[in-house]
Amino acid sequence: MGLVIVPLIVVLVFSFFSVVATYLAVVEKDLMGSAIFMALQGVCYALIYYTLIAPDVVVAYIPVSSGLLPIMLLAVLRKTERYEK
Amino acid sequence: MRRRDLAVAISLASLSIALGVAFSLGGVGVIPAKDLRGLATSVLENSFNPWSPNLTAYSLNAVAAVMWDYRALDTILETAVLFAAVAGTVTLFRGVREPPSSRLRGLSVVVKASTRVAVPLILVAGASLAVHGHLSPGGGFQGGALIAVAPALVITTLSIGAIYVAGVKARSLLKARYSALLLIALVSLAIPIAATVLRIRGYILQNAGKADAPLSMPTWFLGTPLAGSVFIFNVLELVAVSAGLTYCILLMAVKMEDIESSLARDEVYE
Amino acid sequence: MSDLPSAIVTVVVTAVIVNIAIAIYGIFSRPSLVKKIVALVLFTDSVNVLAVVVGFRAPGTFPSPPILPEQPARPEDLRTFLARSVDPIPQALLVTAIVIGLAVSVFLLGLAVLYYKHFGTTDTRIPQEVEVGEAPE
Repeated sequence: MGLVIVPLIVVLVFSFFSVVATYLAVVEKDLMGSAIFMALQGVCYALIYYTLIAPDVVVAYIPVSSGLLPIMLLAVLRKTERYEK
Repeated sequence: MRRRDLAVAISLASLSIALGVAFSLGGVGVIPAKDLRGLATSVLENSFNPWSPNLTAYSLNAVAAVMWDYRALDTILETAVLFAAVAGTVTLFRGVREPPSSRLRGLSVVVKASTRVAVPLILVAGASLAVHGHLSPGGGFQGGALIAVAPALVITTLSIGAIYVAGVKARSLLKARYSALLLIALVSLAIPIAATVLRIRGYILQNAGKADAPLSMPTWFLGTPLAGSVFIFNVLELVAVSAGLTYCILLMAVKMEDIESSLARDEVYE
Repeated sequence: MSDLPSAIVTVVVTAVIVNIAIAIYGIFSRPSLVKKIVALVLFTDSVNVLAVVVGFRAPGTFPSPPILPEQPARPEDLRTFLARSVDPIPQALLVTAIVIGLAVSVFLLGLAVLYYKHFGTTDTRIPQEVEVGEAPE
């Protein structure tokens, strides 16, 4: 009974953090903080994919959401404006 | 990040989790299925089944068998979409010359040293993921995306000059990508061409031999199952995806002055 | 508890639907072009989670991933694998969806750089004074 409850606790905690990260990413005016919140949301979703037993999706999603997209976003921020009005 | 934003976010998250728990405790939650659907039963049964040689793909990973054998046309069209996006980005930034290797600045010494340790590990892990795609979770696109994180990391912590010092040129990346995509097209057409020469029957994108089409890709490698065209497609997709994504990252990281000086030369809005 | 898979899936679906609502609000209400692209990426990722929920399965015992751990020695080993495994087809389609989302995002980020080059700002509320055929300022 003890180990069976662990997937439920993992899903509860990381769904909570994913909603917090999504709201802060949308509302934040400093776009560099928005990129960091996007990477945090990617980590939470990767753990949810693992609990829902999809190992191929986890390995495909982690480099895309926490590695490639935030770095490309930071590169675009250096060329355009960093703060939105 | 102001206090008010954080308070609103935490209350919104607590509301949604409480709603989810209330739905499931009250009995009106989502109920997952108990039995597999018919198509999934057929796919899982025949993914590695030496006792029914007409339908099997000799691949222990059922998801890789679905991606590259049973629904290979979907994956080839997805590769075409990625090709269109990379070609569009290349067209948007056309005429941008590679900058001369400037003085290497970058972040502090600790970050640089740990990057130098992490980059070979990332490259080896990505290649291993792609080569083992038919035996464990992984595959061509997964390994390619992981390998493309290494140049992104090097550009962020060292500078873009480090990539050119290491000998990676933008033109050779594009050439590697296009030759890998051409080889994917050739491998999918290899069995029909060989079968026409030998005057027997062969299907496009065929993996294992069927009853009326006896030619097949290599399916065993010294006692380990090697799922024929699944393995070959994984390796080619690794090369194509890593080269294409690295080229996009190099384009994004070029300095703005180089873009402006290159685009000022030709009139786009004439 | 006996309905543990149902509880896991319900919590995930509720949180993901709230995420979809926040992302759609972000696309419409924020004026910066880069913020709209960020909200679009969040929207795509949240919809992909719902596809994995479709493929999830709750047999009597613990479900297992759709990968055979070793070569089966007899045809009966395939029966035990079939009794516990999760649906593999939505996961294969989901890898395709992640690749297409990445391709669209990369192209949109390139377009945002050229928008800034032409208009001088990433704000989408500027009055459209530049007509077609005129040179920019």
